[in-house]
Amino acid sequence: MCGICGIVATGDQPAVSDVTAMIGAISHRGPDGSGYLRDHHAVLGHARLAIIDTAGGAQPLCNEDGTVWVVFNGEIFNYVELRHQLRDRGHVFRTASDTEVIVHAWEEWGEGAFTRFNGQWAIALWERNNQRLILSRDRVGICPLYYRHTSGHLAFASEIKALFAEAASPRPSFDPAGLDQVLTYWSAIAPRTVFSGIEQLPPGNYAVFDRDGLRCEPYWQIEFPDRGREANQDLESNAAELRNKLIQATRLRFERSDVSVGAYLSGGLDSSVTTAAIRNFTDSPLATFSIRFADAEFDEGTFQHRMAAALGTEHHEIVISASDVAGVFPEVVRHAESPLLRAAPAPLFLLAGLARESGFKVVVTGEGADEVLGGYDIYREARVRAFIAKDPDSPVRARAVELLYPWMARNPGKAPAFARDFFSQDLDPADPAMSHRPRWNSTSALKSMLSSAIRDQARDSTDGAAVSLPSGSDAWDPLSRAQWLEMTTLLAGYILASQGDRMILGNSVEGRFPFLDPDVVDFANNLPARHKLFGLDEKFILKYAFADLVPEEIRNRHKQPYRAPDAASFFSAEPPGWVAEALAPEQVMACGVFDARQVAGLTAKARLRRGRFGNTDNMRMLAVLSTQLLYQQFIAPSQIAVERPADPLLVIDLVDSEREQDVPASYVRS
Amino acid sequence: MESQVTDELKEFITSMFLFGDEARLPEETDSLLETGVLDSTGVLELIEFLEERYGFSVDDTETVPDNLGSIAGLTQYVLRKTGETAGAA
Amino acid sequence: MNDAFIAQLVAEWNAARTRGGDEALEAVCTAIFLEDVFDLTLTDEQLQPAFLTETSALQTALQLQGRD
Repeated sequence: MCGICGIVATGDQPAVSDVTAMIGAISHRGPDGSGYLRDHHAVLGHARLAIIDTAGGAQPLCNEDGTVWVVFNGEIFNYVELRHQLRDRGHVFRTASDTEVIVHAWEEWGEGAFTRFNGQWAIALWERNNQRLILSRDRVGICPLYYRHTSGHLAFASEIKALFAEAASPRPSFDPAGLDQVLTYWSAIAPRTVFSGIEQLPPGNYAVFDRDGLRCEPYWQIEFPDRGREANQDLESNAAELRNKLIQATRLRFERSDVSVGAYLSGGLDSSVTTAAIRNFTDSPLATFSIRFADAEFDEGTFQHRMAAALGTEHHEIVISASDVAGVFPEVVRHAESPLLRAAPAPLFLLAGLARESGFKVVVTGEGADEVLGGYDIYREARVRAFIAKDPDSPVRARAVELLYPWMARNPGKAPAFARDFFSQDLDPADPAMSHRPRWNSTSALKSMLSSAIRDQARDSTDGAAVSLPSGSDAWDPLSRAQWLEMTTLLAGYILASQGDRMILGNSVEGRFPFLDPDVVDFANNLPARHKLFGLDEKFILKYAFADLVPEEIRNRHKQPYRAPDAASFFSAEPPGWVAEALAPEQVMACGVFDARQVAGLTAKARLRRGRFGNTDNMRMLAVLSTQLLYQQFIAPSQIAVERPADPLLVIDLVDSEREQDVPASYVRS
Repeated sequence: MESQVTDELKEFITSMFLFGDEARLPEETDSLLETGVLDSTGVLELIEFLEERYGFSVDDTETVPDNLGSIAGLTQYVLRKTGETAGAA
Repeated sequence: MNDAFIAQLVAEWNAARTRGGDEALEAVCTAIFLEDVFDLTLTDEQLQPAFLTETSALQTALQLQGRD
């Protein structure tokens, strides 16, 4: 993958020094080299992580006559097939890279190019003749893309820290509405971020910026068929087709690379499927990577070893303790660029580090399966709640709660009377977001800790519902609605961002996600609901389709959501020094997001209970700690240290070369 | 005795669930669940507190809204369990 | 909603469910599946093991319900 950045100014010459500072800010995404292109009204920058055509694919790069330039973060996995098609149409290629396919595809198909891409991307295209910038992001939000837009001026980058590196960017400040969204949906919802003036391009969208301004359009939307109208109702043929598509998606992601590709192995179903697909349908040796926990409550080592042994992989693992989580947390937040409600990204950050140290720049992981194939507990809970809602007073129906969590030590079933009350809250069957309302409501409980200033500002700036189901969705199956909500909130904003891209590329490694292959997603979206959630049996068709390749004990495991030590990590006998500093009253007041007195009360409770909290208090403490860290890292400093772009630096200066030679671009290597 | 129990409960709720924000303490007869003061973990922490502070055991069958769902209900529950009836010294 | 489809779904369910354990809870589980797939609402009388775990009785009842 890589990092991209740039500035386009309709009335000025953007400064190269700004863009090199921006590249430096994201050099962790691209330690193998850098490049920039300077035109009269645009400077495009690139930080390179060399994966395909390591020798020839340096960026920025252009089409045949230098009229279209691109910087790109991501992979276009079907670049080989697209290159054939484009050559047949007369396009001339100079490199073997997937990047070059993008400029020719844009020339050939315009915005129609994006639906032809099977991949993950953040793309910036510069059309010299039209003086026009085009930005694009993949369908589901695997690759990030942020921008700052004022009249006649647009700066864009893979990460927010790069936008702060531009000299003219205003002093960073929090956006109360963005914070309010995090404390509802677990992340800000595109186009918002938690920083004022900083926006993000929504997944599945492209944007055009030129003298006429900025406009943003979707090129793809998540779609589901009407309930009962799914094209294929046959389990056998659906399972066979899913299997084929997943194997194809996994092979594409494993094989199309000039460097070694490894695989994450969590011990759960999804990564067991991807690793089994690699082992059984490709010829390469396979290295797997797993997280172990010193605390048995979180550890999944038995299942990981079972799968690694069954496949005969070269297995690597890292054992993580609570103090590891606490120690690395500030760096995790700096990469996430958002408040976090869980410490779960921290072990994933360390795991990516292990992959890097073991010599791997690319890993295949199982992210996305729960969203597209109905794996999450939230889907099961929604179904149980809908069942109970049909007759809330029926004692028979009430027993359905017991089906949900037989294995948890602290479950609603232990306090049966209250369990019914808790479960019956938000039971409005007419609410199209019924599946997610309990999560949003219980997360919103955190807002009572906000300072009154932030709460008032958030209320004043809320511009209607950030998340609303599309028209026609009332005809979908309820599971489809829940999936749509999950894909547009948690998947894009948290799973792929804070747990995905930011943690993996924070270690200069690229993640690839077979379950988010567009053919897999489209196919899964068109499945009958029962093939995904069969009664309360989650990811039913996935287990069915891969029964021969995934051992029964892994297939039949109760869904164990990935969890890591949370607040308890920060309140052990010897917490790291940054914790006390982050929670110090004067720091909390200087930051101004949370009410200092309540933070003090929460901290006292944490110290008393050594951080052993229930879910809501846990989220409270993580939110406070991560927000304080963001404040210290991005807002409090009067200036942030500027890093240099990684060598070698490729410089393409179209302005100078015109002046010198009166002809278009020539390459200058420095 | 009754008012002492009520005060202790209010103090516990204010510090453990409201983190000192007294303004949000509900009326004594309000539902702690519906006002968002108690969630499922809060019930367990409340039970822990009752057992430690007042020395009795909370039976599974007693974890009902009538007993645990409001400050007034909690007070009466504690008084019953500790053998004190309302009005006694 | 035709008879063949109902038969197919009842067969899918019978093949997939794990038996053994609380009968009443199993019946609830079956009810969740049926109500979701057939978009219907069962009464408390119908949410009973006797009704829900006997395949042919279930099949007949579903077919009758479909014809109402």
